[in-house]
Amino acid sequence: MVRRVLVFGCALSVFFASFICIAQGQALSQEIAQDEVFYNEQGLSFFNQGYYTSLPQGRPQEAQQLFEQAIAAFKQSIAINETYADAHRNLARVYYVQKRFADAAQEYERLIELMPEDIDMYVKLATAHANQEKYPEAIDVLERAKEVADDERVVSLLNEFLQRLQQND
Amino acid sequence: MFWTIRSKESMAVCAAFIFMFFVCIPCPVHASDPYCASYSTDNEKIFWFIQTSDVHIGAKGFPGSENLEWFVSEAKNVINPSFIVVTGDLTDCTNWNDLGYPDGPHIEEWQEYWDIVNGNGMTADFFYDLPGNHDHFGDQIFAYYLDNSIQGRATGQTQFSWTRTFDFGTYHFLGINTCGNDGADFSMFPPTYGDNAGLDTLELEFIQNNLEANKDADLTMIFGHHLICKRETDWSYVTGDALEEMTMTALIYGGEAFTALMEYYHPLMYSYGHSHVYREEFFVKDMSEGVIYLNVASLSKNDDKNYNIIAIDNNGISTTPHTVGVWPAVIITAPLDKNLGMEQDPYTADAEDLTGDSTPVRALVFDTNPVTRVDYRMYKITEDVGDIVGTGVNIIGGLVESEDMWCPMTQVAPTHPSYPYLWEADCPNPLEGGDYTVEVRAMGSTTQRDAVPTAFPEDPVDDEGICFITAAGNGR
Repeated sequence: MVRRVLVFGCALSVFFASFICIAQGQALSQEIAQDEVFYNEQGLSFFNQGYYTSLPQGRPQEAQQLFEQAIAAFKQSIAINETYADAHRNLARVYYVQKRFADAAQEYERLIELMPEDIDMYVKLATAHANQEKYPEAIDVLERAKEVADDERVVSLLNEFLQRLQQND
Repeated sequence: MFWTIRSKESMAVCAAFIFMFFVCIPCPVHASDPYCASYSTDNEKIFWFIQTSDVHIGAKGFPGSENLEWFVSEAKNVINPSFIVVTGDLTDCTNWNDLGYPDGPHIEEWQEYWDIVNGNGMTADFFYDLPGNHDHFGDQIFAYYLDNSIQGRATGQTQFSWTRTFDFGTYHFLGINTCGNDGADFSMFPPTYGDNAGLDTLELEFIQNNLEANKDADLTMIFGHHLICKRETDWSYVTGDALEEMTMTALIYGGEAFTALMEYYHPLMYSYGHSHVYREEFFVKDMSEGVIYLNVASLSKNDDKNYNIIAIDNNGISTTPHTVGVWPAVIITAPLDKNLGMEQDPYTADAEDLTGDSTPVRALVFDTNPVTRVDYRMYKITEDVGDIVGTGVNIIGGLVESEDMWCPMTQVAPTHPSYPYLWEADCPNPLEGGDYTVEVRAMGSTTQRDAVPTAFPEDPVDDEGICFITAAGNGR
């Protein structure tokens, strides 16, 4: 009898312990779900579906809807953590794909503040400016990039880009 | 196929592949025999195809769309090739941006590409378009390529194998995907600039399986986008566009295993694009016999030599670069260029001579307008003429103007399978041995020439160093 009570007690303990663990896990996952990483990944999921499935398969309207959902998610991520570079980068990319070059430029400017050593961000910003025919601004950005670049090969590439821009300016 | 492989992993993967390959293959049966070329009077064992590369639809300031339109319409109709192969960089990934900074993929470029090739009736059994690094930037799964290229849409694959069978033989062709697997964005940072090119185990398995499955083919040729290994800095090849030269990349992983497969299966040629430079070379690194290593220039980014005609005549290979819009296009198919890719190319210089007392000269001529006349001439410059060789160009320059040097060629009969393209002649004079240059001149829309160095069994040579031997017998 005592043995049965003990077994029943143990089983009951295990059941409640499991329940508590599951409940804690859910709470934990809800906590994770609300952070900037979650929203960034959610945004990426929308973006990837729109950019790598809908768009190449000839469904631009569907792609645009997905891009809007991606933008909302990336903005939510940034609202949680304004210094989260990944979300800014992804938001810039969606704007760029949508040809909202002014909005993309704003995000690239912020990325340069967050990661001043990343030369590619300067070039992307310059490209966003050039796509709006803002050539002086684009040239200025590349000149700034040259000040940061410490590899001769990178500087040579930047000079090549500058040369092309100056032909249009 | 879409693995992310880092360098150490990739080395292990490739080493494992090489190990498995040599352990599992039961006996050494080679895929084809690049030594099977012959110099023959038989004029019916001929076919040809065309290759171009680096179309770069979307590159601002370059005529990618216009040249592709011309290539798949006028060039295709006039040359009537057995097939067309395009070795990558179908799009530029820049969407005509001012900097030329790849920031795609861009659907606008791909739609334009698809509209041009599909609109001109290109089909998967004729048009073999491979991806290049510009088609892979920002697209890990090749989504845009697979949905908007002829081969991608038809096969769902990025690599493919095809054959051509004639009464005189079977020929195997292999298109390989040399792009990376990570779909990294273009980057400003050397040495790869985001182009992490390579061949992973699945890609190598595909190559090996298809080489094995077609090992009975007479000849095998392989096409890809990238160089097999990075070139040493060679300033003789520096082009006007420093950016492209600087960022030229090669296979980072899988190159050794691929070379091992070529060593084992003996393809005749590996032909690629990527560099926007035309080069005929011979690849021998880690190989005992090597392959012709043909670097085809860009359809849109080069001023000339935008595409190649490649012909097989009695299993001997010939190739010539041609420029968009220039007709006629001339290619000598017999005798063979003995220096194709290297001095004394073993696959062309040592072709078996089945000509008997004849000295056949054959050329393919393609033109939008009727070809009114095709001539040839054959001459040699001896090596023992010292200083005269130095001024030999001037001597020849004077002789070039002389019409007496040229002998007429005749077009094959309308019943011939290569009519109206094939022209031929038989040099009736018994040739002295030694190295000759054969030139063919075709008059049509304009006058164009092709010339190849060739050789005949050694005999004493002309003592003054320059000797013209023509059918008319009017030497010197």
